[in-house]
Amino acid sequence: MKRNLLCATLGATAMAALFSVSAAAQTCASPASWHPDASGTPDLGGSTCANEAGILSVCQNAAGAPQAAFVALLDIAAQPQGSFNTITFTGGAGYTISTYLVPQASGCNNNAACTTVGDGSTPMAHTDIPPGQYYLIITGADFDTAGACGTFNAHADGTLPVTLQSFSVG
Amino acid sequence: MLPITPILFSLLASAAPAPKSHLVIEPCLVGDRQQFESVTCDIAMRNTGDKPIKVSHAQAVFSWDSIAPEVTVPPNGTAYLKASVSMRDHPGFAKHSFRLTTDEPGALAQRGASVHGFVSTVLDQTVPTIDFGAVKASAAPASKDVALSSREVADFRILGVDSKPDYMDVTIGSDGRSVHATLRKDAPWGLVHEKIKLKINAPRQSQAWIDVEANVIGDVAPSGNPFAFGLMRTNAKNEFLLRLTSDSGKNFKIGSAKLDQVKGNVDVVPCTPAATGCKMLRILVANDQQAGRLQGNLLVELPEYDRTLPIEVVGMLLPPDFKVHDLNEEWKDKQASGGASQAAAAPGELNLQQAIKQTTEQVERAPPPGNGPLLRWSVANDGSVHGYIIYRADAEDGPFLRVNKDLIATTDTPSTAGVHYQWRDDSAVSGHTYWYEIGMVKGNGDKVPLSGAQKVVAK
Repeated sequence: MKRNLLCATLGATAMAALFSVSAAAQTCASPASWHPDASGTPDLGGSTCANEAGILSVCQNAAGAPQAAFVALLDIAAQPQGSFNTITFTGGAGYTISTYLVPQASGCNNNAACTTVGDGSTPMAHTDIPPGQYYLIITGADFDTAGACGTFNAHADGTLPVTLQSFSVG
Repeated sequence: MLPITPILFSLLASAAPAPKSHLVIEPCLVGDRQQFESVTCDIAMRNTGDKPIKVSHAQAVFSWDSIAPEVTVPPNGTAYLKASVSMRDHPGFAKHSFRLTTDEPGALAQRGASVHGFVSTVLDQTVPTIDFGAVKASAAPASKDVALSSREVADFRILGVDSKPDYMDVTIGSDGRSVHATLRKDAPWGLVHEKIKLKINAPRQSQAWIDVEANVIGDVAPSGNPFAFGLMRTNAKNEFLLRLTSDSGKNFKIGSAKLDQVKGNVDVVPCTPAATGCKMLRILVANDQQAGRLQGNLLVELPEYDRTLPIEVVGMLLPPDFKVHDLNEEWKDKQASGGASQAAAAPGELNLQQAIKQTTEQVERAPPPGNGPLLRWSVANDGSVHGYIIYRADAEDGPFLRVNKDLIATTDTPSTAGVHYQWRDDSAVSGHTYWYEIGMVKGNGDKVPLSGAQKVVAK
């Protein structure tokens, strides 16, 4: 599935790298800006409530959205200097967290094709995301009730290498 | 497509009181699965209201999945929709979605449900691929080999070819672990994205698929495939010229040329300057279509060659007032002005305090019961790891084979300071000498070695 979404957007990545809309809070018009460092710091935390309320449908109608979303801008660098390996999401009560990554050039609330998707049990993987600038839309699942919202946390694992510290067999 | 009318380009929030649905639909979690495994899952739907809710239509997003077509959820009760999903060859995290129509009012009628899982392969190669690259159809047939291996199956073998593209010859190597593929001259012109489907001798996974990629260049070829429209505005005339040339230099006819999945018109015009064996396609992309990413095919009928040449097209259609900037410049400006993330703490060094806290909070768990060899390991920064595999051999140089049936799940709280894991090999024979290695399965399904071999004599 991710690969399908990825294929649907690969050609746009060059443009995504070149063009983008300006940004500044937590809606499409003024998204938050998230730049996790090599250790994954900081997490992106907040609430999908009382932010962007205009997103009804995402990923070219592949999924609906309950009209309550938190929007952040994310700059994806190429590996090995990339900003993370995976982003994991945790959603609070009141809704079922669903997340969508859309090339910035496609527009935030434009129902454009998604580069990749995530949710509470599905992280976003760097390997699914060509370098570029993206809108990270954090909202509820398409099966949530209209207006459903809640708190969330997004954690980028950084690019620190997985390190074996000890290994013994006895 | 969902009959949900998207609000296009409404960049400003417009909060409105929303009607409340009484139908709560839970995602169905099916855990760790194997490629090509078929899984059924009962999707729970809970009605919090005092009237029954009927799901009158349910449809899988993927054509290979299915779901019960309808169900009525009783008031203050729960009903289930049985979904059947095929994990196919997609490795890593997988989400299979379903579209539902209920009798709730207005926009509440359109709902969704999903089945989530993680898909592993027995192969060492996560996505085996044969890429022929650009191939001239007039040249000698192109051949490629790919070797498959598995550290999960003793004496891994490819048993046969289940299916392949008609225009390819595929044979299994004498070692039973490699595939020799030849792209014949009758391959269709254009970009090829196909699968070779193999039978394998893995008890947990009966198939393995190989991705096949190629760009077959025929006597008539476009100047670019895929052809990029680039950035288009809905208030502009988005017209493009695509040159088709004949490799043999002969003139050719075009029966028809039309866009598929992208709205627009295509005319055939002479090349400028005029040249034999050259035609130009003038493509006018329609502005009255869904803005955003456009992707489709330009289908060019070539009657003299008795074929249709597909050319993939891609572009971005944006409204005129959609502001476009060079983010790189903006980013530099922001950095120069000292702008920083609005989220949480400022980026910087490792969070030592948090790392210490995580370490001290770790509870030293009791080892799993049994007498077999106990493996203990500690890993830092394993947030990108989905699980661990233990490999065992009778000698230091192998062959190593997977010995744990289920993946050893990573902790939900990865740490820069280290997370401790342990696993006991209950299948070891007392007195026997074994060598163990640990491997990781990443979130995308990739298998990566973690450790070297450690020796032990089983008690």
